[in-house]
Formats: sequence, C-alpha cells, structure tokens
Amino acid sequence: MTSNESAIKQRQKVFLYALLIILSIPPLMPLIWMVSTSLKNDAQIYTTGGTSTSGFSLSSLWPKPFVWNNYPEALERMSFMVYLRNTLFICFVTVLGSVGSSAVVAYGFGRINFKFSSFWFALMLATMALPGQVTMIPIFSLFRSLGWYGTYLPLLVPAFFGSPFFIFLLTQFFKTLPSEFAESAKVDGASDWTIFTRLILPLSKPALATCALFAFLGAWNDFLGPLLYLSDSRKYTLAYGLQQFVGNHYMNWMQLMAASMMFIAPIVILFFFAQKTFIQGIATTGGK
Amino acid sequence: MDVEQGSGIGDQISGQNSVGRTISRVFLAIFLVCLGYGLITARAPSQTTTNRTKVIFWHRWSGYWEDVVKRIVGKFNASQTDYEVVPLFVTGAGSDTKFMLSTLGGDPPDVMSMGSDSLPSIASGGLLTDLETLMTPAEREYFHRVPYAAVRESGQFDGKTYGITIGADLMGYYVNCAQLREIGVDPDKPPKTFEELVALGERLTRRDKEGHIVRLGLSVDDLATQAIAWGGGFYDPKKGDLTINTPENLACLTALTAQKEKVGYKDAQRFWSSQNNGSSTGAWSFIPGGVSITYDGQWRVDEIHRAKPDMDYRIWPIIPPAGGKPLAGLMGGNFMIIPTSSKQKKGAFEFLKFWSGVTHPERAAESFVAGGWIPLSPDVANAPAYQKFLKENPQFQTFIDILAGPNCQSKPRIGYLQYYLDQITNTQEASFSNEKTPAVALKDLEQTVNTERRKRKELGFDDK
Amino acid sequence: MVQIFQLPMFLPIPPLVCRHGPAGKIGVRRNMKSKFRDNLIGYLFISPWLIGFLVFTLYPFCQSFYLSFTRYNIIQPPKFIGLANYKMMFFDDPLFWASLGVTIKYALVAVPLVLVVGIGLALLLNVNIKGIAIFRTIFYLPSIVPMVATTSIFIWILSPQVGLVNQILAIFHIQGPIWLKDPHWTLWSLVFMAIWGAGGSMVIYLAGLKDIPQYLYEAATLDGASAIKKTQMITLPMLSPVIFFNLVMGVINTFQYFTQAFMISDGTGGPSNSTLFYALYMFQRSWKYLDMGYGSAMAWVLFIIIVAITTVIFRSQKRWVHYGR
Repeated sequence: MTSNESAIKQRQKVFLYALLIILSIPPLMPLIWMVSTSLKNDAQIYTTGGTSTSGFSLSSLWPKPFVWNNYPEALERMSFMVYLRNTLFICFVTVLGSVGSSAVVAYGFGRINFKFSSFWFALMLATMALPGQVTMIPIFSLFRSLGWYGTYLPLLVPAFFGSPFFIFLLTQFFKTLPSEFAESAKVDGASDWTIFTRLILPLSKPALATCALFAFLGAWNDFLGPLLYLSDSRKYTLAYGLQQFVGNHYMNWMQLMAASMMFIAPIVILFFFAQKTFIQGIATTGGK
Repeated sequence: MDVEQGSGIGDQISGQNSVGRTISRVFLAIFLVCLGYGLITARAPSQTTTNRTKVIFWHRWSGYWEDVVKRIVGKFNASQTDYEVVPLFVTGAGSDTKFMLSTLGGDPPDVMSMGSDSLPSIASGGLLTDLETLMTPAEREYFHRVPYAAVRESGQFDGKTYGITIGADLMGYYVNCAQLREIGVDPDKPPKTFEELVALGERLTRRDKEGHIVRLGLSVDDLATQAIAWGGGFYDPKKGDLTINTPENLACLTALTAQKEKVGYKDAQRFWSSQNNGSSTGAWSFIPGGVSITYDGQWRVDEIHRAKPDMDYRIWPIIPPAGGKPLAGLMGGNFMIIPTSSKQKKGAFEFLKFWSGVTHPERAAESFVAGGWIPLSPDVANAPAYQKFLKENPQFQTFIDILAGPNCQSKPRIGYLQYYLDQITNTQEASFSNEKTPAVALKDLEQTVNTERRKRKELGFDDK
Repeated sequence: MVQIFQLPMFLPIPPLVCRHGPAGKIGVRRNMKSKFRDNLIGYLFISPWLIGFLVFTLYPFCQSFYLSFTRYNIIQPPKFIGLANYKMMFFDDPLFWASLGVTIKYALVAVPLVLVVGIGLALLLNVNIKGIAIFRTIFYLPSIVPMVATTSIFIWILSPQVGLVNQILAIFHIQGPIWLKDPHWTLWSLVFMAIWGAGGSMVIYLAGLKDIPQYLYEAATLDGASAIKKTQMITLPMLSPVIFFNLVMGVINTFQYFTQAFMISDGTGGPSNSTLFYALYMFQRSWKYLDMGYGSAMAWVLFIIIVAITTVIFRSQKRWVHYGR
C-alpha cells in the first residue's frame, strides 16, 4: 500500500501472517469442534465430559475411531437432499424477486425526481428499524386468511416487494452512475424502463451481485419463516430441518454436527469465491 | 443460485493461473453433476403406504426415540383396516408454537404428543378436544376408575380430560453402586431421611488439593417436587389452589439451600456445568461416574441402557426429611391430545387408545415398554410385557412405586402453569445462590405470582 | 471518481437523501407536463415497495397497535381492554424492567466492543497479500455457523473447570468465573460471544475501506505521516459513515437480541434472569404464556425505544460523522 523498503516490507509481511494465523484460531474453533463431533460416536461424546480436572485437552478433539457413518445417516434422517432442493428453490425465487424488485424501486428513488420522493425514502429507511416481532402476528393472520398457510407463498411473495436494505444499497449505487448516458438516451426518445434495463442494470452488476448474495444468505439461513408457515415435513428447508436432531430428552449430537457441516459448506465456499465481488459491491466503487 | 455463484467464481478464477483454473473447473463440474443427480433423484420418504384414512401424528421424539415411535405406529397401522397413522417429528422447543400456528392456519395435526406443562394454557384457549366425549360409556367408566390418579389428573384442566399419557415423566435419585460400596454403604438401603442423604453426599464428594470438586457426591434439585416430600407442595389439588409461602415449602427450600451451601453452591455449579449435563448437551455425568447420587428423570434408564448396559446403579425415590412424606412425585411428560379442529378425531382416538391402554392394557404395555415409559394404569403395569420389562430393569420399579403411592401429584392445573413453574425455578435459584434468603425468596414468589394472578383476573383471562 | 467519496455509502436520511435528487441535474424538462410524467413514472417505479409497505408493514403495524390494547391468546378473538397491558407493564411487572435493564446493559457493552473489533479486523484484513481471501472467509465464518453449533461450542469453551478460557486463566493462577452459571458473568459470556462473531460486520467495513481514495494516503505519505496518524486522520474519518451505519444497526439488533439468549438459557432467561433479554421476555409472554396482547404492547414499547435511541444517534452524527468534502 505504501512504498517502503522491501526488507521491512518482508518483515511486516511475516508479522502480518503470524498475527492473522493466531487471530484465526478463535473463529476456527467451532468449525474444528463441529468436524470433530461429527466424526465421533456416542461413546466418545460421553468420555469427553470426563471426571478429572485435567479435562480439556486437544487430543479429545481427535475422533478415535473416525465414524464417517454420521454423514450418510444424517443425510437419510433429515432427507437432506429433499430439503436442499426446497431450500435452493426458495433461495432462487427470493433472490430473483428481491433483487429484481429492489432494483426497480431503487431506480425510482435514485434516478427520478418525483414529489415526496425523499419522504418515502426516509420512511423506507425507517422501516429497517422496525422490529419484526411487531408485525409477526398480524402478518401471519394475513397469510392465513389468504389461505397460504402450509405453502411456500408466505416465504416467497414478500420478496417481490423489495427489501429496504437492498433498495438503499442500489439507490446509492445508481446515483453514482454518470447521468450523461441517460440524458442522451432520453433525447433519443428512450423510456425510463429502457434506460433502466438497457443502461443501468448492465452497469450495476457488482451491486446486484452483492444484493443477490445477501438475499441468498438470508433465505438459506431463514429459520423463522419455515417455522411459522410450513407444516408438511416434506416441504421443510435445511435451516429448519436441522432442528430434526433436537428432540425431547435426546439430541443426536454427532448427526446434528454432520448435517450442520453440510449446511454451512455451500455458503462457506460461496463466500470464499465471491467475497471480492461481495465487498466491491457494497463499496459503491462501481461506475467502471 | 447458480448464476451468482458462477459470476463470483468467474471473477476469482480469471485472476489465477491456468492449471488452478482447470482443476477448479473440473472439480466444480464433478461436484455439480453429483449434486444435480442427488437433487433430481431425491425423494421424500413416502408417508403413506395404503389408501386408508390418514391420521397425522405429531411427536417430539428424535433420533433413537423416533425409531421407537415409528415401531409403535407401525404396530398400530398393522392392526388397522380403517386408519393409517403418519408420524411426524416436530422439534421440541418450538412444538407448541408450531401447534398453535398450524391450528390457526387450518392445518393442524390430528393427534399430538404434547408436553404436560403447556397443556393447560392451550386447553384453556379451547384448542383441545375433551377426550371423554370420544369415549364410550364403558371406556369413560374404566378411565375414571383404573388409571393412576396423578397420570389422569395431569391431562385434565377445568374438570375435563384433554390429554392422556403415552409417556409420562417422574424423577428420582440415580445412585452409583460402586461408589457407594467404596465407602461401605449398601446401595440397597437408602438413607431414611434427607439429613442422612446429605451426610452421605458429603462422604461421597471428592475434591482435589485446591479444593475443587472432582466428584460430586449428591446433586439435589427441583423445589416443586421435593416440597411434596416435606408435606408441602406448590399446589393443593383438592382445593385447586396455589400454596406458595407455607412452612413446609419454606422448610424444604431451606433444607435444599443448606445442602447446596454445604457443598458450596459455586463449586458445585463450577463442577456441574463442566459436565455437559443438560438433556440438550449430549452426555450425562452420572454414567462416567462424575456424580454419585443425582436427581433425574426416568428417561435416563434408557440412556444408561444404551451407553453403559452393565452399569450397576439404583434408583431411589425422593428421600423425605424426618417425619416427611415418602415417595413424592410430580407428574410431567408427554400427553396425547386431539385438537378441536382435527379432521380425524375418531382415528386419532383409536391410535391414542392403542398406545395409552385405555382399552387393551396388555397390548399397550408393549408400547410403554418400547420407550421405557411410565404406564397409564396398574393394568398396564401388571401386564406381562411390562412385568418382563421391570424384571429386566428392576430399578424402574421405583417409579411405579412412586406412581402408585399416595404422594404423587399432578402439576398445578392452572392456565398460567408455565409462568408459575418458571417463577418457582427462579426462586430456587435465587435462594441457592444466596441472592435471597429462602424466606424472602418464597415471599417474593408469592407476591410475584399474586400480582400475575391479579393481572390475569383484571385482564379477564379464564382463571379460577 | 471524485464524486464517489462525496457520496457516503451508508448514509441514511437527511444530508444525502434526494433533497434535490440526481434527476434535478437533468433539468431538461421543466414544464408542468413532464413534471407530472416524472411523478407518475417515479411512483410506478417505487410501487412494488409502496404496495409491500402498505400491505406487509403499515397494515400489520396498525393491527399490532390495536392488539396491544387487547387481551389476545391467539386462539380466541382479541378482546379490547384499553390501556391495561401498558399499565401492567410499567407499574406491575418487575420482569419487564429487568429485561429492559439486561438489554440496555448489554447494548452499552457489546455494541461498542463489537464495533471496535470489527473495525480492527477490517483494517487488518484490508491488505493485498496472498491468501487473504482465506483469512477473510475464516473471520466471516462465525456469522454463518448455525446458532446451535455456536452456542454449544461456547458452552464448552466457557465450561468452568474444563473449558478453554478458564484453563488459560489457570496458567496465570487465576480462578476463572463460572461464566454461564453465574448471573454476574452470563452477560459477559454473551459479550464474549458477540465479539467472536464480529467478523460479520467486518465485510461492511472492508467495503468502506475500499471506498477511501488511495491518493489521500499517498499525499499523507509524502507529508511523512505515520501509519497511526494516517489511520487517525484519514481512515477513521473516511470510515465514519460506515461506522455510523453499523452503530445504528448494532443498536437495533441488540434490542432484538434473542436466539443466543434463548439457547444459552434453554429459553428461561436464567440464571436469575440475567439473560432475560427484552426480546426473549417478549417471546415468553407471547408464545409461552400465550399473551399476545401483552407481547404486542411490549413490541410497541420496543419500537418506540429503538426510534428514540436511533434519533439520538442521528442527532449526534453531525459531531463525528464525516461525509467527505
């Protein structure tokens, strides 16, 4: 970043790596523990409690023997593939719906000067402060009276009405785009919709991708929605299906962790590959 | 999803060298093909096998227990020509919420195994069917005559029967025989009084040189149940009224607090919370020998059976103080309910009868045995299958004795039971941790609960 | 490019929000007819949100306002009882005040700490070295691990006798507390957990750092400014809009803090109500004790508290938030 002597730079680099590695230990702990637990059997879980004060030891993290079976068993017990399919479907539709609708709304806020626009924008931002608990019961009643209980509609339909956070992000982004294009297009007789779809959207890929990622993560992890609205276990999503391992007086710890590993793996991979786009998208540095 | 992932990966890969790119792509392709295949071929386990009338059954047993439930359901289905029960697991913590929402949403289960603590408040809302309306006169007569009183009452609210047990819970002391014999105590001769029990616990406790507990001799808990042994209790089933700040309850709380103090409450907590004891945290420190005498529920019998079948242990009932009441018990656990809006009440009740033993107690005994559950009635307990189970698990007899005894009560039949139980737990904690003296803690409890009661009355909730 | 850093990325409400909007710059069509057209098209474009707002926010919002004046057990129809719920809450419910106290205490401690740690991590990870993507992913991990796993690992790490933290303290001959079982320490355990999860906000800070133009640093380097000086004079002021945004969201989230408290106490809020957070108590009242009217009243009070605090934070932004220029 700065122009320093290369020797100092080298030393700094080593120091930086060391620091990063040390600091990485705490966030990695649960992952290590999850992996370790997911490869143990009942008996090994029992012995880790132990009776001696020596107690915690790193060696207890090493499963002896490795029980790979937890993975296939967990897959089977919670119908993992079926839930994955349901989850992917919901993710796909909500990503499409929320990003699409948010982009449309953001164009309205960001590029058109209409009456009370700042009032509506402020109001929209204010709704972000609204605790979900306030509206939970009435919304449930609303969906019930529409006969949507037990279907995916309550999880999908609200996405098509824009999300304040995405609208906000995209509005900020759209404002940074140069207006000359749009003006000349207007002179040529292009409508706002044409400008939006032909000019603005193609220029906004990083911001759209960021919103899509947020939307995806949100839908992937959503627990409350399925809890409230899904009654048929064949329609469950992964986040909710994980609860299948938490029962009355009993918890299948090993299978829960095996399933959790499979649950977080896709998002870890997704984040790893997409983080550059992700961060760039939030930082409204677009306008390439 | 694929679209976003694709663009992100593309960005990343374009900056890397070509070998890495190829490897990544091959890897990704293989993965996607496998995933696609898995997704397309995935089928939810088919729920029905016949075209009989479906009866949806919600329960809260997961893992090993779920298999037990499936076996019982399978037996029922095999015995049937009209109905087919479809068992569905709903997660423990959210099951009540889920039940209410599904009822409101118009898609409730036909029959459900519900926790006894939430039964009154849900029943008071009118969500549950009075099961006696589904009984024939003969069944009703039998139901009021034969089952254990505490079990029957636990499913009642406001004089009506809303739930029938299919797996009730009781508590007792689990005793590690080897550790008792080590200090020359015969585990088959339980202490006569609570004071003796406390002394025994002291002798069994082991500490290291720094004074940290390495083995806890005795763990006591559960003011609400223990108080019954002191001649008190937090509910008078005869009057249907709460009894909170009574001399008996105070004596019990004082004794329990004194025991905690003797061990050192903080030390014990320090030790205890290092042991992963909660039912939701996996292991139970009694099995590896971390605690010699511990207070727990009958479902642990099954856990010992699975984790360490050759373990030598006993179960003692709650040990009363000198002059107290023996065999104290406070009923809890799983009760089968049928929602008011169930569409298959008849089929649901058939299943309920099959499992619980309102009719055919010999057959029902098999289902109670399958999960190691507290039976509904002496008829079930005396059935051959159950007797065989008791012979194999002789320690379980303690729970039957408690159940059949005169001091086994149902939990308070009040609409705000959950709140009440939570507050009793808070009171116990406040006293154990020396935050309040037992007397003050109980007085505060009485005041809090009375405020709540007054509040509910003013707000017009249907309380007595 | 210059324009970019004048546009703070997370700048809610007053200064930025389209006072005279970008469309003002177009200034080609100024006549009445096109004004009307602009309005029409503008409203058409925001109509998805507007409809969603009316249906999924405003209507339920008003509905829940009504419910807060009723007795409603979600099973039977609500019954109007006037101000009784609010009266009870303020004058007759010590648990309400206790839960508010716990939440405020936690907010005062956790929000600033998480803020500092999040910024620190972002500064650290805002370098271009090999493998940085891996480190960023690792620090982001805690915010995507399912809560069940997170909580159980903390129960394990904070276990008094065998847990990692107390083992480390023991090396220095310090007897660690019993963390999750001691009412004086539960809050700190949860703060600890929050700091551990601070990597979630790191992403947003990183984005903010990317927004800071390089030439500012180059100029500072020419002036011979030290790294600390640069952080102080350039990075933090330039990052302040993002910090501001995270502060606001942090406060809002804290008042809705639920899952961790629920899991660590098995839903009871114990020991001794030390983890009885506002949202947890609200949940208990609504769903466990089946008093939706009371729950709605609590939700409304929560909303007003959040609005009040957010307003105060907004008022303060003039003093410390820099929007470029």
